[in-house]
Amino acid sequence: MNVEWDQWYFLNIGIMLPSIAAFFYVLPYGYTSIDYYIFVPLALLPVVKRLVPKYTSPYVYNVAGIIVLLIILATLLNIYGFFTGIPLLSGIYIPLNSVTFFTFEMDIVLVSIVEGSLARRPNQAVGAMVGTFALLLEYVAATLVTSYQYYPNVSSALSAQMTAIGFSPMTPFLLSFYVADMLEAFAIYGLFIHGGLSPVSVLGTSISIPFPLNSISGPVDLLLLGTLMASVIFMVVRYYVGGESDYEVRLQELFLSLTIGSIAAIAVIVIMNLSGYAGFQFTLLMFFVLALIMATLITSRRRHPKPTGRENNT
Amino acid sequence: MIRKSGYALLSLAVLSLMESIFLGLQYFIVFSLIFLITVCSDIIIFNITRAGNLEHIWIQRKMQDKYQMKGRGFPVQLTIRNDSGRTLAFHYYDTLSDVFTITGESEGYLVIKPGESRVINYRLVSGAIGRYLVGPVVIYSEDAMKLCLAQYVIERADEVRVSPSLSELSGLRSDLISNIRFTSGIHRSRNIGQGYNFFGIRPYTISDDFRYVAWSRFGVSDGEDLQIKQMEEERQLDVYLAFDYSYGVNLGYGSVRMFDRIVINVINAGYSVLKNHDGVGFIVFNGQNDYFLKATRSDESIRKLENLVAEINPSGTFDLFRSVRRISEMVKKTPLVILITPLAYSEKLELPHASLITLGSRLTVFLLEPSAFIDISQGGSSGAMLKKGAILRKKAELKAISSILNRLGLYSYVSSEDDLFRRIMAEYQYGKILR
Repeated sequence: MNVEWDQWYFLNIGIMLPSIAAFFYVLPYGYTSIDYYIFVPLALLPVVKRLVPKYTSPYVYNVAGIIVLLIILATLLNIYGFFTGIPLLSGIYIPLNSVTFFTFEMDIVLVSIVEGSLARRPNQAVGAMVGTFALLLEYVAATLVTSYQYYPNVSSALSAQMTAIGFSPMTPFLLSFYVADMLEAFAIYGLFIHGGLSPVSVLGTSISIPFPLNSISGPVDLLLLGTLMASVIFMVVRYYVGGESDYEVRLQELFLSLTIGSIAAIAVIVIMNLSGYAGFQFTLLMFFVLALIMATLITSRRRHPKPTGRENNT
Repeated sequence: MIRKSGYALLSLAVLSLMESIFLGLQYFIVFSLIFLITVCSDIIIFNITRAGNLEHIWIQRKMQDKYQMKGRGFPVQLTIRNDSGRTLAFHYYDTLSDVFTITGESEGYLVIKPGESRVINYRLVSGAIGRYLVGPVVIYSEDAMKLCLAQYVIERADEVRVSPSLSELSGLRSDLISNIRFTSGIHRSRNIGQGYNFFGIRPYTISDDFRYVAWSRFGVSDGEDLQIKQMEEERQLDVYLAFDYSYGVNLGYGSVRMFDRIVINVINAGYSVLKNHDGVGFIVFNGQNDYFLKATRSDESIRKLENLVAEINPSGTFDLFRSVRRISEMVKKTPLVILITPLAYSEKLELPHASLITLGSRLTVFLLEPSAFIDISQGGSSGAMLKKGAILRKKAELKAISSILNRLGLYSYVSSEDDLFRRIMAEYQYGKILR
């Protein structure tokens, strides 16, 4: 089977659909929080990578990363006055605030989406999708968390506290992002310290904190659910056509893994729900994940072939 | 064995599961869980099925003869049998040196049912002389998601000894051109007075043997003068062709290898010397082993050299002045000695005092510059520029060393691969004249 590169790109874009959907969902909320002087040059890196000579293209991202880190270092040194009086170095400065770091994160997401869409190996596309989607999910949560019933109280309290400790005023979107992060952190705290049952005292009030998106839903849910399902289908097709000649074996193993994955996941969720009254969901899930990872690692130990006793084979 | 990409994907799957739980997004929890279990089950299924059974693959290699000639192809047959209880799909390849040109399927992908065998034929053509391993055979298999790799090496390797190609040994041919080219008119000797070849005439002196009076020239100048016929003797000369066979000559690509070209040129020169009825011997500096093949006036020494170079590969380091000392210890009488080396590690050259270089015979050192053995077409334009720069620097360095050697009393020239044979023969011719 001959699969052209453009068909692979098409499949990669299919795999990246959840990330693309989440990115374009977040962008209208977050575009005011982006520093375009930083965003645009970094967003053009995939183009630069493909324009430079072939033997230098693998180093484009490394060089860009080093430059960004050097600029941050120079900015820090400038803040503490190390470069005072040195003509060029004293002019290097980028604002080290939430907007800059949101911009960097959106750059990472955009570049990962582009590289994932143009990836030659299916694993690169899948990895890029899972990674970027996990990153974007926090920003999706930021857009949804504004409908949380205590949001006005929490956001105003948080904003006041952050201003008090010296942070510059934030954009509403980034404030909602920090609220979502804070709710997540308190939910984790409540889970680990109080077993997920006890209410947690937040900023002087007594509020029971659930995981942010556990109780909030929005129109994006259906979109993300649909794109995740489509992405799984594209993944299967991409893994199937991305091989060399062992299509039959590949297909058998792929469907076996996927079937086991689906059945086991449903079973785990059912067991979690059944054990919900005892508050052991998280513990059970973690034990299951640990057992799964251990089984994977134990079966993957390097084999040392033993002598077979057949003279003509050694 | 899980690949780095496998570990990365596993980590991402676990992280996305944690993230989805902590955010509380229900359907992403389900997706992450399915994804994690799918990735893990893909690896586990692969490990307990295909990977675990790869060691039950049985492979046998058949080759007609372990002695081969350069440039002549020889067949190799691989028989692969699946002794496991399940159908196995795997890739295989036979580990081969880059001197071989391969035609056929020395690598590929196989799906073999239990108990079935496959016979695979391919053909190897060696582009260089020496001793090479064919094998071991490596079989490997990947899971559907290409997250892990199982590899099994079947430690079965065969040795092939490759001797020089007949087609390259132009000196071996008895055609007229090769004789005229390099040996015509060099039957010279300074030992005038005996022998069978007429050299010329000179006026008679009282001590001359009366039997050599040229009566046909009696009285040509003043009517009663006598002329004597001068004869010359064809004296035979022993020529030793010594060469560096260390790692330094292991330079080149494809069928263009420095050690190979040195040996071919040396053997061709040896045959040409033999045709001129002189003796030829060889000295091979192969790391710490110095091989001395005594000069003979038959092709015996050349045959020995051909066998020797099929048995050894370039190894060790080369020390010019140690080699010169070894030559003076090994050769007897006063032969003509020609030493060929690229002086690959010339920066380590330690020059001794001129008085320490004592050699009874005439020694000429050819410093072989490496330009012909470096593939400039690889590595792009900047790579080519770097290589050209390095070659020019090496040439300049060899020229400087050559002038120093000349001052120390060792005749030395910088030679390229193209003119090495002509230079050897020119030096031989000059050495004959000086006799």
